[in-house]
Amino acid sequence: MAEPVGFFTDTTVCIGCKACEVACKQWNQLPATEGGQNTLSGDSYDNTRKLDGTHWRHVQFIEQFTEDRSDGRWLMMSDVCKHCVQAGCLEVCPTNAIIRTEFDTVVIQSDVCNGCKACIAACPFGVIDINPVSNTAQKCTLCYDRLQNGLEPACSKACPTDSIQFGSVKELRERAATRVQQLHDGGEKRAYLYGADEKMLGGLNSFFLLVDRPEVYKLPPDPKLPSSNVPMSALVSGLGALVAAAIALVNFRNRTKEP
Amino acid sequence: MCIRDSWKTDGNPLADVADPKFPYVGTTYRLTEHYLSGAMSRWNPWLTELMPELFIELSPELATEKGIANLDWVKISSPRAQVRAKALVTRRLRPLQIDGSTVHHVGMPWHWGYEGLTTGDIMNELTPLVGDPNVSIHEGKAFVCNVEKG
Amino acid sequence: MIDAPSSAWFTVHPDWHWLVVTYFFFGGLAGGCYVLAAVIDLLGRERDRPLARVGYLSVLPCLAISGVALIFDLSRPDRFWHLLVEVHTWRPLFQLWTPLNAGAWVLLAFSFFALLSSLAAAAEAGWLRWRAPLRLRSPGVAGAAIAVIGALLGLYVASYEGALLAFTSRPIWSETPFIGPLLVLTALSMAAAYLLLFGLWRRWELPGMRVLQRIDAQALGVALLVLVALVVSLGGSARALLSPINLLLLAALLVVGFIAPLALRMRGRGVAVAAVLVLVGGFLMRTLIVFSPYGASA
Repeated sequence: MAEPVGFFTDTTVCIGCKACEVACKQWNQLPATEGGQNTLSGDSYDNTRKLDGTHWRHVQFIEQFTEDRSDGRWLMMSDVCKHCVQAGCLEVCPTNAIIRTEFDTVVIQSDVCNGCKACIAACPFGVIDINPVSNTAQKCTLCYDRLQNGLEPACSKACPTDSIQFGSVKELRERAATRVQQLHDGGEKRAYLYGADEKMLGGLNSFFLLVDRPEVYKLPPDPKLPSSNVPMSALVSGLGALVAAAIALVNFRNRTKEP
Repeated sequence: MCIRDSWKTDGNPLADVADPKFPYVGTTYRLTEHYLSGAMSRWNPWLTELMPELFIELSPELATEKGIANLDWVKISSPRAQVRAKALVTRRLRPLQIDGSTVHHVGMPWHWGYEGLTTGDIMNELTPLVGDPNVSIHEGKAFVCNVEKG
Repeated sequence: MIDAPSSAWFTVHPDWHWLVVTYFFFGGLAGGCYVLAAVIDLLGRERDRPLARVGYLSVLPCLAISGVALIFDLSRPDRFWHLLVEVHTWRPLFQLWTPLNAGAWVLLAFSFFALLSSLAAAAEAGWLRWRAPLRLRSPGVAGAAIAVIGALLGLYVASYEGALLAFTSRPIWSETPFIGPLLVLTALSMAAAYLLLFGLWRRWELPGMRVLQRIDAQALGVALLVLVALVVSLGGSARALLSPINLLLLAALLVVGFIAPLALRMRGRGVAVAAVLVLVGGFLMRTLIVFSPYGASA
């Protein structure tokens, strides 16, 4: 396998231009919502609202201003599939449509997916949804087709401030650590990396530099794999089934049967 | 502000100083997603879905004062025209304290027009025909206005 | 948003709705019917064999409805076979650690056993001119083996949906182990209620009819305890149940599905009404389970 590659998204230099959203849509030929005639969301400058089957990059705008306006900032963050090293979507897929590529990215094979929607329920970040054109589950592929031809993903290529950086995960982590140190030295002590180490789902190949708690960016503070729930659920279900069988057996017992 | 004689026409009235009919300051500006009057960008679905409708931005203080909620339709008027848009209530706009009084600021993206995948009123109809003193380029990007719910 | 009860609230709800509720209902009914029929046969209750016959014969129609519901719940129903066959290699696809895949195979196996038992029941009723299938039913070693294996498969079919829902990251579903037992216990009571109604309709007076009423009530009683355990186990995420529609469903479920039938059973009155309420309650229960996390988002 080639070296794992992914994204380092430095939200402190994002300018909210949404070039990443458009580049992604253009490269993957994704349709616009309602043919481009959707409605204003009322949520700052974010009218895309969320990641889904036809939005594989989504820029969030978070306004944080005090009432007297003495302090304030406008956080911008380009959200995307995290390409987890331990991917919830991959482990639940019952048709084997979701695979791990040679680039250590997570890709849904569109010709295999039958739209059962298990991955949608399993993704701890709510990244996946059904694409209404193909009627299959779709999400960021980390531009698998571009990677196979030696190109970088469309969004990172388009990003004018290099907020989205593409490269080997190892190198990106080093760069990110340096950037966090730079921010801390400059006084921005709230900067930190989200998903840049093995602690979160084995590491997110697409990780972020954030300046507030994950919940502010609608990211889960403590995501887990779905499989962590199954042993207990299976055990308790088994006990339940035993109790049910026992109820049937005990009550239908032939009491007049001679020994 | 320079008003050449030829611009003092019927269609270009100016407000009196401290005209109570137009108590707020409006400024026009751009969004990233559209370009100029939107004649090209508003035909591109990938761009229109990012900024689908005309809106103005106002502070929560002004919104409360006029009973305007986020996404309500509002009428914005100036001595020259009246347009309608949806309201985006945000703390990024703030009331200005000028000479001891509060002057509210209303922000207006001007990328909309009457054709395209998304249409909307032409915000620049509110502006006065005024030019800069050097080369007379149109500089009507700040003017007085009024905002009402509806 | 910032005070979400758990990380599960940052996920997105899959579009699983009435078709999945239908599948849970008829799958549970199928499993429960087979288990009751198998128990009647294995315990040698000669007089109740007609009840067992109805039980066996009801399984395949229920599974047919379940199967259709499952297939059309897929966004690409034409590709339902991708659950069983690997697309690029055409080999059978076994991913038995995923409840969805394991469930598909178990449903197939269970259908096969239901077919065997249905043939035996039909033969016994004289509908077939062929006597060989009689051996597929108790008494007899083959019959006993089929009944045991079929009943185990039926129990799985009636309970595995709990593990299926747990194998997600959604609030409620992934935050309690008690959905499976709730499903299998109510499935048993639903099947007992259904067989009871059938027997009442045919005016049978079999000793098993009284037994079914007891099973119905006992399974429901234990299920109620499991429901309480479920709500408690949710911790902070129980807040999801406080939405207007969830509260309404929960209230309706408790009254229609538990309190009323249990009260009727304890007084020995309204036998048929109680049975109908149990079936309605079973459907409401599954509706609540499938729809409850819908609005739970950070």
